[in-house]
Amino acid sequence: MALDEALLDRSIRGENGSVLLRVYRWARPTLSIGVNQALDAEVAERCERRGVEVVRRITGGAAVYHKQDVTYCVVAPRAQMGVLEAYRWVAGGLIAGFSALGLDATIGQHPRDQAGHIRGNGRTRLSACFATTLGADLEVNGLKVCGSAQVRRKGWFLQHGSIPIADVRSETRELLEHPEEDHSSTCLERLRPGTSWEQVAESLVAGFTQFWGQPSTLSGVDSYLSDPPARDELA
Amino acid sequence: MSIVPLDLRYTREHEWARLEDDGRITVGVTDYAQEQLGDVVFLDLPDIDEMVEGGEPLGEVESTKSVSDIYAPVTGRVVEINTECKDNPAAVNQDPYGEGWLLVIEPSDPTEYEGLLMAEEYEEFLEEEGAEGEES
Repeated sequence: MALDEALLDRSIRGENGSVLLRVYRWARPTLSIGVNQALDAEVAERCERRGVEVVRRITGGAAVYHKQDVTYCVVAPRAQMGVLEAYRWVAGGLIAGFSALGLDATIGQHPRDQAGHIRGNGRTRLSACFATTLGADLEVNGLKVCGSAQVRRKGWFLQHGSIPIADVRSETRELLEHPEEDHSSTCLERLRPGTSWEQVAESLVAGFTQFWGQPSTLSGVDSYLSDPPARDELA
Repeated sequence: MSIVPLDLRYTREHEWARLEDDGRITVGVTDYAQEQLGDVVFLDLPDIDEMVEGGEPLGEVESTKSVSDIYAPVTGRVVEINTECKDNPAAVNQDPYGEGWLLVIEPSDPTEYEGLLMAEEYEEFLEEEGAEGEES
């Protein structure tokens, strides 16, 4: 994720003018927390005991447990897009990617007051991303299958997202010690048994390329699949 | 439809600015911005006495959908922060031009304010962005 921020900075500096898509997985199970989320000492200790890395994203939103998931990062010029338009624009590529896997994904239509963010102690509460659905998320059969978060800086935006392959809801709940069970999300293992990381990654790249290949005010797709990235630092 | 009060000035980054009687400038984010952001959950604002530069980021607003920079409409010194809004960021959504104000700047150059967008110009800018503004 440090590389993602570097890509955004590079674009802001004018060293890249095109849309970037990065698809990756994690070398070790990792909890990524939102830029303003508080990291409880108990959660940090629990993660350390279990060998789970913790990183802080530059994007907002809630905690995501990356274990057998497909993580994506899109860096693109804001152009004329507001926050919602940018989400919808990225969702077009994602939906095309899901379609390549034979899955009919739609944009979540949940009302904004269902957000799981409650503020406390100068930061936002450490809630789990997949336990809540916002209008920026994707669903299959009414269950959240892709959570996303955005940061907007100087004419550009960066969007992170995670698509779980394996069901890590129980582990996430244990890590964050959440009392509520997550009944609102699902994973590819349930929707499409046997789906591999490579299949998802290739479908996403194909979907994004197909979607962005249509006439658009934004031109050019610079995409690549990467190996597991280097260890991220907890900023 | 977003509300665009006639007595304020605006930036293309969707901040509003109000020139007070004492020459200081109150700053917030516009109704359009709060609609786009969704529920605001966190505000990162500068400290009192910090110098900010017009057009440069002075802090961040995090919503359930996005983290976005807040840009200084003018160059100057921060003289007041809305601590109540920091504690209750939902005020930005509920009352962006009232209780949801963010900070007050003492401008280094009083004429800089005049260079900000008028309400009509901001509305035109919103139309270019595909949104509509409603003067009030």
